[in-house]
Amino acid sequence: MAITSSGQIKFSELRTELNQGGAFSIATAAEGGYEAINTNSASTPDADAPHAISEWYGYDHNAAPAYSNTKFYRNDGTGDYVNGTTSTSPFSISSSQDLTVSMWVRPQNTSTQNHMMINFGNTNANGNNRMFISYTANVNRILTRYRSNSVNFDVQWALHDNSTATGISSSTPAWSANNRGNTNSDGWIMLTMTYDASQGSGSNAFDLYWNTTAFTSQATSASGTRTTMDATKLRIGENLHLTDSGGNAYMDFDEIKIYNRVLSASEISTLYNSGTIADSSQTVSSGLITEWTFDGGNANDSNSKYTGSIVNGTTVNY
Amino acid sequence: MEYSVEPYLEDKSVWEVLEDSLPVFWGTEEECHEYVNNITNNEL
Repeated sequence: MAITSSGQIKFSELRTELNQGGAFSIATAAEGGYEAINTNSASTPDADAPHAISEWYGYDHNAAPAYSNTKFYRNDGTGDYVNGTTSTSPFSISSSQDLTVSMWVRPQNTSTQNHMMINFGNTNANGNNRMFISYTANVNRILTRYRSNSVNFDVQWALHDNSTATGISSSTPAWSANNRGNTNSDGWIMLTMTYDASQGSGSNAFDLYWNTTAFTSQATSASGTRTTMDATKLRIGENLHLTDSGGNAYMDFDEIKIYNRVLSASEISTLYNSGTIADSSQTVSSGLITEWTFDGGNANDSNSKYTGSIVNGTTVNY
Repeated sequence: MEYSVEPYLEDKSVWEVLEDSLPVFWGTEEECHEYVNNITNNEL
């Protein structure tokens, strides 16, 4: 807990902050004689004499370093993917479990390309039981689908019918590195799918946001019977059950987050954070199940919900 | 590519073509099979 930023500072507060009992000298403390001054703190005492107790206003000895986004993940469209597996499902896919999936993406394909962006479900044996976000180039649509026992509950969103959000006004050319639509200054788009499980129709259950703007036009939707399933398998960039399919994504990914609730438009705007690829722990953390930042150069997720591995793909420094 | 034709809607009023498990075309069951036939014939 940080020292107060105004008013009276007690020596006992400083002792507590610096884990120091007994006699206490603010000069010794300021010069790091008890514990090294934590420079992660937004406010730190001046190490130069004379030492005033007011120099300690706002000091936080336990301040965490500011988040620095150092790497992203690149899936090159040919046999790449991030694989995740667990024996304990961190959430269920059902008609009662709300979900939000948010991720930053940047298409890298220069020719027509389908993209399986992310899917999670209960088996790697087939594609019949999973929730996924994908892109189909020949109709220029993103699909948000809950598929169980081969029955579909989904919405299909044409990018060109949602041009206010996407900045893409025609079905051709398809979404690509040459036609990314509305992006931040580095070409990234934050895509966010929300799933309101209580809704009986696919049309009402799913929402899709491009950066901070919700899609308003649905190309079509399905409202088939939903069967509850675990999410013990996860794959980014490729179908759960395939390894080098026609839908292998040629795309960059970063800051992929799964929440156990429906984020509001306001929260999604906060998450977007004015165009900077932001770590959700600094912005919207309530209900966060886990996330993939790729900053460790691996496929580990922040809350260790999955055993992750990168198959053929690479992490790239910013 | 591997293609399959499956119901899109549960009542089977609309079907879809899956290309490597990704949906790429929607129509009647007959239209979907015709779509696949056209692609596979062109690939021969």
